[in-house]
This record gives sequence, C-alpha cells and structure tokens, in this order.
Amino acid sequence: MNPGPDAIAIGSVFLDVTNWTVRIEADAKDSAGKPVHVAAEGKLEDLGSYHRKISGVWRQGGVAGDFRITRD
Amino acid sequence: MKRLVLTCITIGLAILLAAGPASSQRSASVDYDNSRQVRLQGIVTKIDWVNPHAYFYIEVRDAAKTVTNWAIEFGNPIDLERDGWRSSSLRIGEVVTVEGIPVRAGTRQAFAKSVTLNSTGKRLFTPAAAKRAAASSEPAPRWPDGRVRLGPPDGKKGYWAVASARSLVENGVNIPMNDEGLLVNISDAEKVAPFQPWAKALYEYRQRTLLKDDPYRRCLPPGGPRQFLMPNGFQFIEQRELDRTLVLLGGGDHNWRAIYTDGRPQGTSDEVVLTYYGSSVGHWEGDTLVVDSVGYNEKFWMSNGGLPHTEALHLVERFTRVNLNTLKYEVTVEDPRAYTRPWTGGWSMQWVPDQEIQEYFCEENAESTFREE
Repeated sequence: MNPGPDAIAIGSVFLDVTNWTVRIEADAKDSAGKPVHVAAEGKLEDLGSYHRKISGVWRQGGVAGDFRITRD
Repeated sequence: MKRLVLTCITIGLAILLAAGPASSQRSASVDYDNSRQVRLQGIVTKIDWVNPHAYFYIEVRDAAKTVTNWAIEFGNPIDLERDGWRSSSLRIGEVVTVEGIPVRAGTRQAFAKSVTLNSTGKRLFTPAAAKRAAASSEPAPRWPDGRVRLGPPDGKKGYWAVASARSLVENGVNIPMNDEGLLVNISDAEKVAPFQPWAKALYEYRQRTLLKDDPYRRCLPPGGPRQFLMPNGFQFIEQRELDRTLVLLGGGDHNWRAIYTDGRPQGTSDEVVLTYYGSSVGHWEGDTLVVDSVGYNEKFWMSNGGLPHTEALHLVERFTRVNLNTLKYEVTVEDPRAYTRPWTGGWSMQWVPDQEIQEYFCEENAESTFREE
C-alpha cells in the first residue's frame, strides 16, 4: 500500500469466490509510531475483463473512505 | 417461388454438439444461439463473397405472406473454395433452403449449416470440418540428416489444421463440449483440470457468460495451447541454419512465435518480458520436439473455453509427427497459482497437403460481424 518511502506491506488478501469479494489487510504505524490496522474490503467488478476492478471501502482506525483499484 | 415459407424450429441441447460457426475470430456462441435452429426457404437477393466471412441474403415469405430479408453467413471463402464451393455456386434469383443457427440478438441473421438449391435438390454446402477426415499415413518426411520435418516434404507445401479436440482438458477426461469449448454440463468444470478454487470459479463464470469476454474475440493473440486449436491452422517454418523454428499462425493476425533450438538456457518468468507467446526454447528427443516456455502475460485465454492462467504459467509442449498426416501435440501445464498440480492434455492435428495458409485478418472480421438487413 502507498508505494514509496512510507509503503506498507500487505499482510493478507482473502478472495471469496462465492461472491467475488476481496479483503485486504495490513498493519502499519501512524505518524506517532502507534500501531494501526488497515483493512480494505471490496467487490470484483467486470470480472471477465483483464482490466477488472475492485471497488469498496477502506478503514484505518476510525477513518474510512471509498477506493477503486483497476488493473492496467 | 410463391410458396416460400419460414419455419423456425427449436431443437434441444443436442445441437450444442453439432458443428457450428467455428471458423470465425469471435466467440460464436455469444452471437449465435446454438440451442436453436432455423429452416428458411427464400430467394437469393445478394451475395457478398468477401473474406473473412461470406454472406448471402434471401427474401423469405412467411405463412401470412409477409416478406422479410435474412442475412446468411456461410463461412470463410477460402475454406469454402477448399471444399468445392465457388462464388458462382449460388446465383441471385435462385431459391434455396437454408438450415442454420440464428443470432441471439433476434435480428434476421443466421449461420448456415446447410444450403440446398431447390431447383435441383443439390446440397451446396456442408460444414468444412466434417469433410476433412484423416487421410493416408505415409511416413513422416525427414531432412537429409534423418531428423523429422515438421513442415512439408521437400518441394511440397502444406500446413497443419483440424485439431482433434475442441479445448484443452486433462488427459483421460472425456466430457461433451461444443467447438468453442463450451461445456454441455457446467457441472463438468471440475473435471477439466485441477483448478485452484478461484480459477475454477473464473472458468465457470466465463462459461456461464458464453465466453463473451474472450480476448481473442477482440483480436488479441491466442497464446499457449490455444494457438493450435485455431480453425485456420498453422505452419512450422524450420530455420535450421538459425537453430530456430517459427510457428506461423493462419488465424488471428497471422501472429508468429519463435522456438529457439540453439541450446540457450531457459530463463524464468521474472527475467523475461511477459508476452502472449512466452519465451520458448526447444530440443529434440528422438522424433519429438520438446519446447519449454515461460514468460506469459495474462491477457489471453490459453485454451478455447476460457481456461485461466497466471504469469507463473510454465508449459512443456511435445510435438511428435507420427506420420505425414498426423502431428501429436501434448502439453504439460504448470501454474501453481491457478492449478493445484501440473497436468497434461493434448490432441492431434491433421496435415492439409498442397495448400498454404491463407490471408485472414481479425480486424476485418470485427468490422463485418453483423450485417444490415
């Protein structure tokens, strides 16, 4: 996550093929050095396409937001 | 001529196994409804004898005497000429009976499985694949040093086509599917190959959606084993002075693939630029050319029917020319991200003597997929 100097290694990725949902989890540290858990859960869209997408919601502590990842 | 009739017949699942419009670039099951059949009788009004898909048009009058125009696709002109059909075999004004497969879209278009001239009862057209039965079994041709030739005998021409299988499945598995690799029973999916769960789910999705996302349909190359399932065949160009063999494909965009036999070591998929045909090195084991390939991208389907793979795909292909007319193809698939273990499948291909592969370009096909009524 966040490729570059503050990159976070992805801890786990889980794909549920019964409904094509994906859960991505990672553990990082915030600016104060406190451990923080990051989780992003989304659904695979346009499944048959090479350029398929995952759209969903990410959460980090009490903060949440939408995300979309598209395969180039 | 006054008694032209239109009869639409729905026949069952059995037609899924019949020869369909397989010589096109597109996934015909998406366009044509293999579960139905139409029988049309009408007057020929126009003939488009164009590559890659020939069409003729007929005026059909139904029981209420309503006249409609139908577009009839009947194959690739090169294949048709090979099977004895000429542009002059059918003339404007003649009355014909057509049996074929209608399009799904509900427009008046069908793919002909047979065309009969009403005036003479002569059947003009039968599917090409049915005509190309195996021929004689002369010994495999050889180079002066005794090595088997994968191409034509000295001074002759020809190419390979007509794979004996419709899709790649694991050896020993025999399950019904149509020419495009669509399973008759989706529950057979688990028998096709030792899928990882996600790969099986994706394969089933591709099957359930009638292969609509097939990259080949959008003119992308048929990498992996699929290149040897293409209806327009392929040629081996053995460049012995360069220690390499080129595979020249008759379908798609006439793509080519190089197999290096100069003893260079095979790299890993991390070391090569990922491509549709991968990085291939080969060596001979007796009369068998053994080819090891890695470095595949994920932008293609490696077989008819939508078998998934990943960039970790590693193929070992074995080409054995059993005799002049028969090439045995066997491939071992190793892709631990998509399959739980290595597995092997294959088929044989038939020599088409005294002919060259012909011009065929996918882009033309995309433009002419559907015709105006």
